[in-house]
Amino acid sequence: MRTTYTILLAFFGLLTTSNAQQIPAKKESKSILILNGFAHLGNGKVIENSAIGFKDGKIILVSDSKTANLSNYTFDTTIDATGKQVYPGFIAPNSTLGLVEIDAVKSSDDEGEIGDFNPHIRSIIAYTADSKVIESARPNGILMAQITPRGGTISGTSSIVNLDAWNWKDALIKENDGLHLNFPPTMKRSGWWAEPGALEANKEYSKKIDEIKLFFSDSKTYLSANSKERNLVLEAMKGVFNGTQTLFIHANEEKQIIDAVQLAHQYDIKKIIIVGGYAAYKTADLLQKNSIGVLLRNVHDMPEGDDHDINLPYKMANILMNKGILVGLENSGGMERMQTRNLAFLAGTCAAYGMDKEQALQLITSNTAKILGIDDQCGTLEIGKDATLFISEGDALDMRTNKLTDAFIQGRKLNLETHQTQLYKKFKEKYGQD
Amino acid sequence: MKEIYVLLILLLLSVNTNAQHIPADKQTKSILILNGKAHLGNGKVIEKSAIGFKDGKIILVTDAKSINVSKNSFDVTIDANGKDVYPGFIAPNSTLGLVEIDAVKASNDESEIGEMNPHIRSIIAYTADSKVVETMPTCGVLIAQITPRDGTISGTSSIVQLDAWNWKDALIKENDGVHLDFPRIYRKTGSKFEPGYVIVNNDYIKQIENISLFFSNSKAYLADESKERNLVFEAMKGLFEGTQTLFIHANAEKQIIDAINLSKDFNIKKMVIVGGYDAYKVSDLLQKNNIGVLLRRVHDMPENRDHYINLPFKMAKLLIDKGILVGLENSGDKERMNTINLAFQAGTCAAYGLDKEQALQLITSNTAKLLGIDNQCGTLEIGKDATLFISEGDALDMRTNKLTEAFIQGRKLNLETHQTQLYKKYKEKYNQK
Repeated sequence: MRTTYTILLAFFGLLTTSNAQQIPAKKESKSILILNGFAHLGNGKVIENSAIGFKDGKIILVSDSKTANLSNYTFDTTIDATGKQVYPGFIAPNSTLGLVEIDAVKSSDDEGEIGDFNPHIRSIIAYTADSKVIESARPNGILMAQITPRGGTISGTSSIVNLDAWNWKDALIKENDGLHLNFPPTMKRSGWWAEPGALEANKEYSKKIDEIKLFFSDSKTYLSANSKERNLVLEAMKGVFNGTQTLFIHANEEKQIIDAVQLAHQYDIKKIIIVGGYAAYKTADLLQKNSIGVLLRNVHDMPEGDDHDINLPYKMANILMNKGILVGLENSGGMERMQTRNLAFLAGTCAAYGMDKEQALQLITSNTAKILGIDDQCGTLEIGKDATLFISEGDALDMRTNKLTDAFIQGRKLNLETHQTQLYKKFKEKYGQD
Repeated sequence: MKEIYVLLILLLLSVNTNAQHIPADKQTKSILILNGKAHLGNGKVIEKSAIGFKDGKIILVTDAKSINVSKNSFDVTIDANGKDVYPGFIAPNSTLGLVEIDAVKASNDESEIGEMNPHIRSIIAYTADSKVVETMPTCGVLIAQITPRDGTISGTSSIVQLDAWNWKDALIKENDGVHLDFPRIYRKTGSKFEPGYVIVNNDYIKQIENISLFFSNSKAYLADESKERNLVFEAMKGLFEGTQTLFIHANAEKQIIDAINLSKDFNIKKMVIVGGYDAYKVSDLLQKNNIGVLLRRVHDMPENRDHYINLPFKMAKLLIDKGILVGLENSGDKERMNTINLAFQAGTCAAYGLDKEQALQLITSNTAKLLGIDNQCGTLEIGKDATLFISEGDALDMRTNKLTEAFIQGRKLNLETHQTQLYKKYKEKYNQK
């Protein structure tokens, strides 16, 4: 009877605390083997019957379960994934997850900062790791995100996080990975979103570009001289010039992209990524020649021009990939934080419109990891990388079969409960009562 | 081994109750609370009590020693030795469940446009699964009167218990009263942060005439029988018939006198003054007419510089000594979250002159009488609802108000809240390495 009580107490204690609210998983002390799953490595390859093992947060085995000599390894826990699919965790770049909790509450909005040139704004310090919105992205396989500020011409500096943490410091994968430049648009729409007016040329375009140039040269001047009064704004540009940070240029039009690339070259900026890139396919050669990647904007969208193919947004990733450009998918726009959980299905749509499924998977895993400069650590199932991965009952790019049974971030097993699953359980209980 | 599995499954089910606050299921068992110090809410105390309930009603209230309670006749016995048993506290004139997040306008259903809104039944906007509501039972507040705000006639209130799936489940008494915000004689200029002068409200007479006009229009409408239906006037019916109470929100002496005169002119049978800062000045009038007072938040400063600093704390005693029925209400700043402190306001009244059991009546039996639910709630008496709780100590003192169990109509409440969940979550943080 005593053992019964012990077992009961243990169960009760564990279950209730883990269910009370989503508690970030604690460090995994055991080594885990996922056996016989259909592994999508994220680099284009698949292993039908895989054996994937990890320990201390890192992947130590990726192999075919038939050919691998498993007796060389000892694992504390084995998960049978027969009939299931194993994926590396998906990455949501250019995201504002955790920067706004309730859209209607202004004081919960840390998305943008006042001022036009804000390279020194590090949005990561405003990141709310225990956001209810963040926990809703995980059950669909989104396990990492690039937390990016909005607004202004230079919005600020982004950082990359994992989505299961107590606070922003715990969450960090890469701090200050890049700087975000909102390139001025050549055309402006009058009116507002509910009553859009006509498109007009932006007369300020050249002036605005001159302002950016002035800011860039001011920064260069400041950084080339050594000791003088400290200027945090100009100092924050350092990484972009010395190549340790990426310049993410938010631009959609052809002219914008060309001007932006030229401007960046003029200031000798080494790493450039185009974010948005609706017209990137028109400048594909320029991008390919300069090895500039594209984070393609929400592909579940309508074409911009009246004379565009209705399926153009769905096909864009394929067009760019065929030109040899590194492409990832991003998800900014209307309700972007809540929509993050649909990222996988954006890739699924790309697969439906011309791409190979494994290539489409790369759009939200290895390609994004390369674009964000975290490919040494995440994005694929390869030995030595972070054990940030998940098991789905079926194809994770299809919303009918994207059903996660287990997910791990750096080896830690996630609680896949969310506010929504809790409400589901609550109201299921209602109809169990008389 | 089999029984272990059964227990494990039961435990897994019980986990669900922790995921979010789930209203308690109907109580199928009869329960006996033994040896607790019972505060009956009517002024009496039983040191070692035996309180039993079944099917949601109290069936036994007695001294545990005086009778031979056969434990076997109850399915469950709770030992409350050293603990205190109280009837559930009642929060009148409350907007609980009408606003969820103050900063989100779309979650605010506190008031309706228009001046004369007797037909507005705020109960239909009551959010039973509010995160604010679920915190109340942790300090013993188990019943509330959900009341609309603003306008001259704000609308019709209803009384609910605080553990329900939806407003229909929650109802204790629907449409108990109509709320009249009596015009003010003085008004303050300036804003909340920069208060200006107090100036005379020149429209006072005109506003009272408007009310009179509305009352007589309603009477005229109700006296005549068939014609085009007018829901606004129709909603005044209960007041004139005496099935509903007119809650007059008034604080100044002149307001109270004018309000009573006006109501008498229209033959309104049941009246209660809500607020009643100056009620002690007109106590004879109130007592003579049998008008009760729901006293405004007593944790407050006196209104005038020449008032005694402790006046708000003593007001309940002043009125009770005059033989007036007094309850406590808690409207004002952050009123919803502050409802949790209702018991401690009664505690303050006890510290300033009232007997502890009398102070308890301010939030139990007196309020029940004022709201017209005293046949069902407010005391621990046989036949009444088993809406009660067990506290580790004196529930009117925030140091000892620690609920171990609470029941609403016999159903055992889950005393978890968003706050206790966060507490558990962050406690876990420091267990992790």
